[in-house]
Amino acid sequence: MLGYIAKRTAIAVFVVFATSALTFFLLSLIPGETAVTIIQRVFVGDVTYNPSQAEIEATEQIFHLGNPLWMQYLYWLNNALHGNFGTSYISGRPVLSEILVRLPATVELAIAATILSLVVAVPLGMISAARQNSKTDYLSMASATFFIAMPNFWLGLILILLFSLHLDLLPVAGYGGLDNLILPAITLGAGMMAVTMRLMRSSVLEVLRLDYITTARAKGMDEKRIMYRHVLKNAMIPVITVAGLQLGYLLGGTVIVETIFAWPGIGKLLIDSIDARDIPIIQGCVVFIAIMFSLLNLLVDLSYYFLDPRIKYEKV
Amino acid sequence: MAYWFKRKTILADKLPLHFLKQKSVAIGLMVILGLAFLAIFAPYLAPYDPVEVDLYNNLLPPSWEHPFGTDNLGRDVLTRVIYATKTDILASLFIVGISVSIGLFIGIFAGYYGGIIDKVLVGMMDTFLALPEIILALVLVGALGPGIFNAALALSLFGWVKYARVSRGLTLSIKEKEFIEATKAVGFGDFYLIARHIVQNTVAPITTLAALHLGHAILSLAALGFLGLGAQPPMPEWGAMLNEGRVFLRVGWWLSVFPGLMIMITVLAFNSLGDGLRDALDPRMKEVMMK
Repeated sequence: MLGYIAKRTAIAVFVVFATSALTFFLLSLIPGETAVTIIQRVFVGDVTYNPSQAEIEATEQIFHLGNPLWMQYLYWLNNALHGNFGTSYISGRPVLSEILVRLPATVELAIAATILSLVVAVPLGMISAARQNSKTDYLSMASATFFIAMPNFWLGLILILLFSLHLDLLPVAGYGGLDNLILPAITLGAGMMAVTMRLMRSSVLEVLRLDYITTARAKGMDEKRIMYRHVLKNAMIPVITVAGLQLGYLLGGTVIVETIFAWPGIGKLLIDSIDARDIPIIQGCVVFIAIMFSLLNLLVDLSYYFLDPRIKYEKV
Repeated sequence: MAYWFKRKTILADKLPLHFLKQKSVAIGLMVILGLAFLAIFAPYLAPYDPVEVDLYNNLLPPSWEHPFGTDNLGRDVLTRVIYATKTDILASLFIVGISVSIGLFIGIFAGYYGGIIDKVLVGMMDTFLALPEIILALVLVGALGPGIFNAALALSLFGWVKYARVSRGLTLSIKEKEFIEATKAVGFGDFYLIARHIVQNTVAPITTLAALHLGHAILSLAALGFLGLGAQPPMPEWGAMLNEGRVFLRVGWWLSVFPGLMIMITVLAFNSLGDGLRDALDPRMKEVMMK
């Protein structure tokens, strides 16, 4: 068990490092004199400023820009490990504080979307399985198929059109109250809801075929109790795994949803900084997303172990 | 190079055609053929010019003359939606083509030769899978600059991983089979073995993956377009059209409805084809694909 945890943790850490290196090298492809950009934006705050040769050299010295790329990466890594992710080219503030300010909004949105999709998907998936081939089953499976194919940016626009502009029930965009949260959470959670619903259905169907369910029925247990006591718990195992992974993919979706709804989270920050070519912030955002994603994967792996003691990790 | 296709039964063996009798698959295939028709004959089918600006007739609601209305620059939305079919389908074919080529090559290479190369490649795949694809694509497009080609390139550079995983797994299992041993004993080389036996065995699962990937690629491409990083104006592309129309949501709902509807129909069609292929080829594939 300990060996398993150590191994999974090592993989997660490796992935975060590899992602940071990959991002660093990709971002170095951005054309333009980095030193000049830094002087103009961070030191002077004026993009028309024309720095002297001495200033450029001094900046290159401070930021190790004259060194080969891999050394620059190691300098960045060293700083990052000490909690210094650099300075934003645009705002001039430390990257870490820029990201930490935005983090709660993204977490709030992701959690709301996850809860929403699980609350809808788990009961619906169970009902679908319990009444296989009924109208309810067909209807919920058909809507799941539609939601999987529906682009979330389109769903967001349609929801705004319907509930904000036409019915005037909810705000178009913004951050703050619960009414602001509803539309973004639905937009973000719809895809996950559809996937979870399908999975819950097939998982319940699988459990229903097992011997202990037949036994429970044979001894005269009524269907409702079988569902709650035996089926639900066992069918939830794969659903929780996938829900954890889906939560990670939601982080990718936040980029789009936060853009549509002007939600001040990490996704919006990432897009804005890509538009502005604010390299330190892009780097920081990707590393943070990688950390969150890896942590989630790790949690899922470990929770799987505790949920189902039958699983042994010998061959991992 | 083409000698492993000489056996004419190969596709008939691997792709039992009875799956076409399923209603959803048949409809999906028909929709795809229709979309291909739209894409190929766009200049003859579209009633107007896709980029010509007509400011006197901007933001007209849907009517007989303009069934999908006109946009803020007076361009006919139906025309642009038809032309965008070509952009999106060609780009997603490009993405899937590149991904399949890279994925097959890396997967078979890693699985067949094993050792330290395999370990490094698997580490690379794990890293690529450790992040949502859209984030990596965003960074790459951000670095290369926005545009449809860069967007498609970014999505293909991160899209090969699934193919590599599947073909690596298949290679590992086939490698141990007796007929491979026999072929080696007869004296055939690695290239013959890979081309004749391994690639052939990956045809079925890779086809299924590719059909599902086509829909997924369109979603990702349109997402990049929507974020302003994919196709640039005035090029007609569904995601970019939604991005342009978003500003006019209050005054022109038709700008935001029709391109999205087209994306959904296209993705639905590819998904139902992919699902049908998967169920027909191998029910166990469901588990492999879910991962």
